[in-house]
Amino acid sequence: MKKFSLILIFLAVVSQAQTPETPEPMKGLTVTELSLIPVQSGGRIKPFDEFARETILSMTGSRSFGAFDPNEMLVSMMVNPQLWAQVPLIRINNDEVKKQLLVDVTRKFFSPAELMKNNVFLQYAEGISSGGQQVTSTGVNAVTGSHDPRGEELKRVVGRVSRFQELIAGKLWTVTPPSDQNADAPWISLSEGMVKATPQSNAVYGMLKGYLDHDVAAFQEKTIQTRAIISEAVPQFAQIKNKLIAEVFYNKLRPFLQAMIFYLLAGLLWMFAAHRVPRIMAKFLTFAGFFVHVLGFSLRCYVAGRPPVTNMYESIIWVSLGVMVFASLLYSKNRHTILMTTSTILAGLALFAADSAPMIMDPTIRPLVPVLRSNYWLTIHVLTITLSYGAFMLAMGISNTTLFLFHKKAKSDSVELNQRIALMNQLAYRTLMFGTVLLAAGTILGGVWADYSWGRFWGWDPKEVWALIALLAYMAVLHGRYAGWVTTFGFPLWTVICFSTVVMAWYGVNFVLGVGLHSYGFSSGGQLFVSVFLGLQTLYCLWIAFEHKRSKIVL
Amino acid sequence: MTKILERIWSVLISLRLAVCVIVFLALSLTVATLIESKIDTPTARYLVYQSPWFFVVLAMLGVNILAVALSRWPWKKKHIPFLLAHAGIISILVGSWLTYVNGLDGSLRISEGEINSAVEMDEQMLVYKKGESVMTEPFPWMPEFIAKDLKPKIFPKMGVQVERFIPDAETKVNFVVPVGEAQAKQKAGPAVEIRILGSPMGGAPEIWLWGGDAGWATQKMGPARFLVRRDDQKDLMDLAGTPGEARLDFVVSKDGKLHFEATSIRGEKKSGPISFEGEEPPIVNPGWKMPIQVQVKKFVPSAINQTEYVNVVNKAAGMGSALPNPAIQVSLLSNPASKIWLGLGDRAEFIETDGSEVSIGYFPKRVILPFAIRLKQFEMKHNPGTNEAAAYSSYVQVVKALQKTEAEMDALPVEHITMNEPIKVLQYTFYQASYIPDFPRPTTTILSVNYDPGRFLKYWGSITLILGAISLYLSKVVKTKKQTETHSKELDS
Repeated sequence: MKKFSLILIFLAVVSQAQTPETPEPMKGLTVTELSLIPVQSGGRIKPFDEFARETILSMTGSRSFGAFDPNEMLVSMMVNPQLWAQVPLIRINNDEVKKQLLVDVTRKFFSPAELMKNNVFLQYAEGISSGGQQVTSTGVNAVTGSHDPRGEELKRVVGRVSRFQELIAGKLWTVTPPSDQNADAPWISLSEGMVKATPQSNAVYGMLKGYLDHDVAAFQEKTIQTRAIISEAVPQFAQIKNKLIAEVFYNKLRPFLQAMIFYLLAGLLWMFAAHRVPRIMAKFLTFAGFFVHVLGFSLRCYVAGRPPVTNMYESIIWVSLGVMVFASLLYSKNRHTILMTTSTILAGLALFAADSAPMIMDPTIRPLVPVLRSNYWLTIHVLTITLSYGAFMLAMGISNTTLFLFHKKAKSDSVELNQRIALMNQLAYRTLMFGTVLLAAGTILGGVWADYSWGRFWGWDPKEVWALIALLAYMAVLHGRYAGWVTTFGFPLWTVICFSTVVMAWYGVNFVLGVGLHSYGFSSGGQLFVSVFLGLQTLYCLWIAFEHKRSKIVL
Repeated sequence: MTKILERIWSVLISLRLAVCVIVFLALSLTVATLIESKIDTPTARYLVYQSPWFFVVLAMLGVNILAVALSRWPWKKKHIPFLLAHAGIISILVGSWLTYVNGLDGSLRISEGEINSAVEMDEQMLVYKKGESVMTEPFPWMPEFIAKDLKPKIFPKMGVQVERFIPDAETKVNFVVPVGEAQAKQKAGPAVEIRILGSPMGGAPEIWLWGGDAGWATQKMGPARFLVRRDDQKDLMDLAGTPGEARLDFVVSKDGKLHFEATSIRGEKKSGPISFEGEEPPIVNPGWKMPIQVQVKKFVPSAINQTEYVNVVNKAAGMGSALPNPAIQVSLLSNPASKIWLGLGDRAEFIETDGSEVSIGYFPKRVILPFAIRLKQFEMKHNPGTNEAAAYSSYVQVVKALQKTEAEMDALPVEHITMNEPIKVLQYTFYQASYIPDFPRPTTTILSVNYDPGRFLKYWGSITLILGAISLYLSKVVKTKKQTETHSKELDS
């Protein structure tokens, strides 16, 4: 024990000796017991598994790293800090930052040790701790008000390194629940346990020693003890026991990643659905995808204790689920396989976007800000409004396909083609109508919720306003269609264009404008991705419109 | 004449007008959100949301919808969905108008154990008081690009003019030579602005020292104390003198000359004159062991302090929706030299040419409730193990004029206001809006007070609109189903 404590004290100082060794996963180790140890972190009690993944995310920018299981990796880092300090695991995204730190621009990851030896970095880190720089989460310098992605990233890098230091110093892991049964009181960290030992910290030390000695059996035994002894001391353990298990299962399963793969494969097969075999396979894959999608959604609801619709990541999951539901309903009536091709690919791409950028769209389950804690109206309002985004997304997908039919039509016109176009427009029109009803209802419900919790029905808040702009845009299309100004060609074109108002209401207000009362969802990043999407969409529309116009002139 | 009316009517009921209004509305809203993002919320309100032209656009929408609905007369059964949806929008628009005109939306601050019945509104006004008579005039907020070219605004009844307006101001204290009679009566004292060079804490901090007030006369930075005084100000001379403290006094003699007297930590003394003859501001070397030198940037032998308001230079990001902090510069028409800056909530005394005293204040508009609210306790809960607020709530009592003593008020029933759970008293609803941060715990709550006469119409309109939209959708589905079926059949064959 004594030897181990000494090591822990030593950890904050990065060892100077170059050890050629790199940390390796221990053979024959199972982490199930370890992953289920309750930890208080980020305002809630979570399983060690989630704590480990979040910690790794906060250092490396992804939720797992290399061959290591995240649980074992965290233990290994605490036990062998001098080895891990040499491992390039701190991510630096911004090239300007790398230039400023005089490091190799082509590298993505840097070791804590090399950063701690970097004078520029050290100076900057000191500046941050003395409060000289204030950069908000939106990448805007709070003092000068200017957009400062470099300063923002530097601050994050300092955060990543200090995360590593806190972890190896035992400050990050809270092991001892409060003795007075107060469920909201802060837990005591491992490092505090070093000064004043608790049964829990002793158990954890025993466990870590087992790992240090490469003694698998001892480690496993101590892990079971640790889990039991910490669990016993958690005041609200009875309520959270199953949630811990569900969360570990949810993390292991990665349901949305699986759903994405199923959907994309299904989308590919739906293209050949004229044949029997691919059609049956496509149906099966779509169903499998939908099943894990719903399962993941339900697990997340259960773990968080609320519907997951409060940030970008969660709303993408819900919207893509909405797309699938609408498309399946329409398909069950009309049997047009194009619906399924479009929807599976859309849903797959949306889930891919959500899953591929954990730094931009944080998948972590976090407690809600106070104003959102009126579950009833929040649920109804947000679910309705985001569901309408799903309908518009589907209408956008269908209309893009219709536009492609116009490309074909421009080459060789036929009665059959015209009928298909009319049919596709019918489908898009219906989806659009449905979306509009949902959006109107959702916006009004937002007003009801605002009235209920802030005392005003409508306050011209940017998020409200953009929902209204989207509604007005679709209203203009619907009325224009009614008047006959929006033609068979104009309808899909405008449907696609109007989707950009949804993108703005959904993404833009939180990520680009960054003002207003809906600030709990504000973040930054993804501008490139969204601009590329909008740019491609515009080019596509222009190209088709040009072809369409030319074919008409020829006729 | 009838022809013109018919023309107008045909325009009013046209779909073209509807689509134009919708598109125009969407475009102006887009611009408004951009203004809000790039400048701030009050500017967006001023230029769009609360501007006359925006009301015209909304009214146009209402008139158009009303005309279209009337044009279908006599109404048939098939018109019901259409009528419901459009009546819903009209109802919401009228309800919103009622809220805007007759509604009340303000905030009420109360500290624990205190009572308050004055609701502060987001409108500002001038308050003029002479003897017993009080006059008020609204002075609405305006954005910076209008304020910077503002012509002096004259309030003839009060005999007051507002010369300048700063939409979002921060205070800056300045020390100046008094000008005019009124200023000559203010408390004066010697003032120096110094710049500390070579400070171990980094940077070159600049501070003002002013002998007119004990709080301003001295400042301590690390182990060093800086002080300004007239050589006859004995009270200031004995002020500090803690052992282990280095001290640098700027002393003004009777003839208005400045010299310094320095004492090091070990008690070594040094003194010398300070001359302002060179081009650069003079630098004083107090002869301490720490390598500190002090530059005297400004020296006013007899200065008064003046609070000035200046534009907020660096607006904090993400503060776009926070309320601005406006300030005005007012003067009496009879005495243009009596200029003074007033921040929101400030009041100043003036002396008229006839010797009478008047006071001018710049205050938020207040509405007094027919009862008062007493805050019994403010409570804040945190997320487990963090400092993030999870919920905050106020325990309040409604005080009618009948209860006067503390004991009587203590006996009143306690009501609980928390996030998303307001209480209603008469026609007013009280919401938990915010609090004033304090240590060790916040004890002042900010409630939002609301009276909304348009609420019923808005809710009624919402329900009608949604029902209309749903039935429109269903009727369209039925109508298009047949077409789709024929299409499908043709496709299959």
